[in-house]
Amino acid sequence: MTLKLNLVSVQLGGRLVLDRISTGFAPGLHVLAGPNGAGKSTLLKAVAALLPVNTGNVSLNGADVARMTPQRRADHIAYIPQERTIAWDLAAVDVAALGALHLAPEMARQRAYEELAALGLKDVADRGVFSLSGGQRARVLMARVLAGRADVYLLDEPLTALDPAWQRHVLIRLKQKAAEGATVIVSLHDLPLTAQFADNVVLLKDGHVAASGPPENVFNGGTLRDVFNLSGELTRRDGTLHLQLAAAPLMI
Amino acid sequence: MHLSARTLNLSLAATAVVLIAFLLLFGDVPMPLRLWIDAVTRPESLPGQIVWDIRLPRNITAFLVGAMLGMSGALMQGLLRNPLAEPGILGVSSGAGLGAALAIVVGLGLTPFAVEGFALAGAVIIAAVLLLFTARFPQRQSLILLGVGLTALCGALMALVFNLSPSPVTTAEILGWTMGSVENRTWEDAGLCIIGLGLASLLSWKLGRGLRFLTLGDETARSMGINMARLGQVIILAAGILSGLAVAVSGVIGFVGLAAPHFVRAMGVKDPFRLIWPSALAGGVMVLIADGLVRLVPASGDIRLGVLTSLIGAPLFAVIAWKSARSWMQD
Repeated sequence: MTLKLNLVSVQLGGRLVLDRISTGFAPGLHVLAGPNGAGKSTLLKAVAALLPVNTGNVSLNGADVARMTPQRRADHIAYIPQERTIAWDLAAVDVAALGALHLAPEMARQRAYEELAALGLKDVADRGVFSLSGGQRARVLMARVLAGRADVYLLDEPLTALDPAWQRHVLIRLKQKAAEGATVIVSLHDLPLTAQFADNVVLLKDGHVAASGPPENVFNGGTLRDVFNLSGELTRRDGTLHLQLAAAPLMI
Repeated sequence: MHLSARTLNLSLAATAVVLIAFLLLFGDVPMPLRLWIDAVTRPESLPGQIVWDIRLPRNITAFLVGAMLGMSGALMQGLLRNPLAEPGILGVSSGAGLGAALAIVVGLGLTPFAVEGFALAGAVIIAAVLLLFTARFPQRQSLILLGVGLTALCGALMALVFNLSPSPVTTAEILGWTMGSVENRTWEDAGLCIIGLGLASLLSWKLGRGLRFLTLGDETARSMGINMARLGQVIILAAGILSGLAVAVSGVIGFVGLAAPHFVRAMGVKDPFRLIWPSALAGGVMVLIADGLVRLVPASGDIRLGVLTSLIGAPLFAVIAWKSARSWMQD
């Protein structure tokens, strides 16, 4: 399904966090990148209709997302916030099964076990989440989202707390989901991983889209310098893009 | 320990039945076998009245009041995602207590159902304020802040009632009532509790599943289609009915609403939706045990039920809290 933002503005606490953003997301793996405070999380929340937009609208295959019933919206859009809250010490499988609402309870658990196993959590699936590490919990929450059948996945910094191997593994899993026809939008700070895995990059700065397109077009020297105050070298080896960053002095 | 919700429900229900039957054997009047035969064969006889009109309604009311407190505690903890939440946290119990105190101070202490009616009215007023507030501000932090404010206001007004109380007898009556008791409760009291539990169960069954999604936070729950304002209102309504009625029927009985859900979690049921009914059963068993102690242990004969539940509940809660803290340390 194709998601479109049309002149979306969001104001929070008197500050304009998103300023007339217009962009589209076709099925594929999209990465939202940008400095802290650029508006990445706000954009994801606005798409999920968790924040009211001040102007413009978000549409999914032409239907206004804000006007959908909450249930219909939940059927189409899955979301993981940046804050990874799990209030009670439920078993990992029970948390993951919450994502498979469309299935009968036993089938949902089965689905949850499969997703947990795919994310390396087979042995801890029946353990309480409070006894798991931060990285394992992050993967449980990822399994919760992947156990569903949404068309659009909005994942706010899903790689935080994951080690490099699991970061790559999760991105490969998301890439599979995108290949199956899902629209996956992920906010990331890791630009080299973004260059390797993203089909499309939307670079935000101060609530505006600074650049968007395939990573080889977005990660050119000028944009990296303008948005992040970084320089980098983009190369292609074995069919994969590699971004080598060199930090410039921080402008504090 | 890890029990399924079903096993725990069955075990607690069986324990409650055994306790209710066992506590029928004890009371102010000794009952030899001959009187028991009378009580069973001729329910209208004096022994029959003692068993069926005094002891049984007391036991059943004790169980039902505990069940209301336990269920209310489970609902509040689920809604606020806070293991320290209990029925009194939003001020509904304090509102009920204030209502009852007002009824006593204006001289309606002996009028049938006046104290209960005033207590219920107090609970309803506070619950209405909370419901209106939740429609506008569904966030739990706002709700807790308002609850703390309402509890403090009711506490201050209660102090004013004591302050302006016309006589020491009235003061003692209010004080005695705030300590909680199920002594001399009737089938009508038990009926009120059953209505409250039925209504709250219905509301919880219809929308309580949202508490599961709330486990993952407000935003995630909303993204999964949960209407947070509606969920908050339904849970507040259910918990308000339960805690308001509990205070109306038995006065203030502390700690059960806090401890019952913790006991259920310690037994292995952690899902905030599935926890609701075992917490009710656990709360019922707790109050039955406490009321049994009040009646059976000579030294505790003069101790009021509400005081005893707090005396037993506080150390028990400390043990549970210690175990929980230890498990969180391993995180």
